[in-house]
Amino acid sequence: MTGVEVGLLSVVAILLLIYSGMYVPVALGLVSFVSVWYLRGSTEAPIYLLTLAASSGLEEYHYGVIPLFVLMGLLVSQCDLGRDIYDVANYALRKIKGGLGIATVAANTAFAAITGVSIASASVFARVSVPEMRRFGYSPRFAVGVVAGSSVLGMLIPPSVMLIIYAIVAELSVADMFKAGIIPGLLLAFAYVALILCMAIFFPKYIGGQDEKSRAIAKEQGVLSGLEITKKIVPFLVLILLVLGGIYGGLFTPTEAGAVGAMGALVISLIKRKLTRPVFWQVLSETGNIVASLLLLIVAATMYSRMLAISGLPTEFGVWLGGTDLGYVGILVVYVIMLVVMGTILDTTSIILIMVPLFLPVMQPYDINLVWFGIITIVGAEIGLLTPPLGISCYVIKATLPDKDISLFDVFAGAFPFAVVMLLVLILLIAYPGISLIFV
Amino acid sequence: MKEFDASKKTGLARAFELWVLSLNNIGAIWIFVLMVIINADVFARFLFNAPINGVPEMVALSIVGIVFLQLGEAVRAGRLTRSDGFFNKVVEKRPKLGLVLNTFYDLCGMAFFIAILFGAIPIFIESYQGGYYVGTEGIFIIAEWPIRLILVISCITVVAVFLSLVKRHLTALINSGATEQ
Repeated sequence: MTGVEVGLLSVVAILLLIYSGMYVPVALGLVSFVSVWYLRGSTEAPIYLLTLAASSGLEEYHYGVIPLFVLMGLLVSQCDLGRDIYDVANYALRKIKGGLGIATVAANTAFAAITGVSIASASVFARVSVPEMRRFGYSPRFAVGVVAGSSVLGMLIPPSVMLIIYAIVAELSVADMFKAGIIPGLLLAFAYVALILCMAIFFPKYIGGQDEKSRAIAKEQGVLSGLEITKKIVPFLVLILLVLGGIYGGLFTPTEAGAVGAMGALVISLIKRKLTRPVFWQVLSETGNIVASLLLLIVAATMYSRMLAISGLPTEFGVWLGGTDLGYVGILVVYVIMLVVMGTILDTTSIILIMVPLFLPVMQPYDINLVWFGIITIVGAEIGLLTPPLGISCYVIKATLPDKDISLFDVFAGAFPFAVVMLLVLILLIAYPGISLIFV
Repeated sequence: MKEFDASKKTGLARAFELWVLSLNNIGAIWIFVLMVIINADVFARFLFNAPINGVPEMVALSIVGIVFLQLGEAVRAGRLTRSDGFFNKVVEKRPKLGLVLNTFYDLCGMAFFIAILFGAIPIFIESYQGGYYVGTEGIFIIAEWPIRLILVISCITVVAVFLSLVKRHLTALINSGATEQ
């Protein structure tokens, strides 16, 4: 077999093994190991590459961002900051049609700016804002749809673990990716708000609520005093200022910002008396487990991209795609479709790690901006998280919903309009790369 | 600290579980220490204009330690990334096939970590005998071999965890065969 054939066979084998349930890092790493063994004719080369990926490959100062931002995200999820910001957003938007839905988007956007793990936001807001919307008579489908749709904001708005992972694979600066994520994230948030307003105006039945009964409940609810609002908002402002301000102001490296942010989150949860010793242990241990599985994926993916490079598949693949009539736009369309399809079955990290090493060499001749390409990749893969059969965000929300009457089908159906809006935003981002590159 | 389940286990199995959890807890404390050290560095730099030497080196070396120390527990708790939508359906409809597949996957996991181990052992010996260090001489240096040793110990642990999972699947498989007859 030629190198290219081995490479192609490996990619197919990896995908089949992953879909049939093998651990993603094991499938990526082991198949790549065997392929390099076959191509080089001895076990010496693959063992060397694998050990390099697992030891000195991981010894990078900027990988420190991952444990620190995961720790920070878990700490802020622990101390009810999600509920606080949601209360404030609700109060501010209570007079607007569909206000609770918009409040969910707004609260998610703010929450995304202090946490890097989007599964955290999905589970926090499934518990906080779905019951609230139900209380005001909103339809279950709309309520879960908003939560599912806005949970993906967490991956795009910095600090985000996804932006970090892409920066690592594409060998870019984490700070640049953080700068690039902001505007697309806000754009998506505003697009969601526009969608909700349109629904409230043209399809009020679909949203539900907004009747005498819900207005009566709203009247009963007291007013939030200025002091209460300040108390709820200040922790957010402090954390955002520390982390994003520190990075954009050039005071901190992203790793330092992660450490300072985690320390800030720790102090806030101590002040709010939300942290007992067992809870803190659980948070640390959970951080460790998430980080271990994330970075093992990176080890395996490093091995995989070395294997691809040795096989020569990406270059050959690029030549082949260039020879077809697809052209630049056509290749991008194929790429996005593949991302969305994979997103329905796999988590975003795995998709980035599998697809980016394969497509970067293909895109190189077109002189694209790699930062922009990363934003496209993340948004594309995230669309899949909202679509059946296996959109992960929807599963997380279904699992954490207190209201067991809402079916998985409702979650997917409710998320669908938001997935469509995401696709429109993605098209916009592809057509106007400047949107992602304003601050870079 | 993660609670340790001491019910109905043989001495060896209990000791092993305790070992895996201890590694996991060391890794957890390590993350906390990392956070404190970086904060100390940042504050010392801004307040007293006196940064702590060697923090970037310590952070870089820490990553391997944190990741591998926690992998044993992550594997044991089924936390490795996998796409389980299709797989769960198989387990539901044909539990035996599910067990066979799981045995195969865990054997593959074992093979993967044995491969890492094969490379990790010579690297450890080399760094120990050669007295390798990272950092700049005269300012801050830290020996490399402890982190390489952690890699070796952790890999052996992960291989053993996979082995215990394989044993559990096979036992379940044999038992399910026995109850059917």
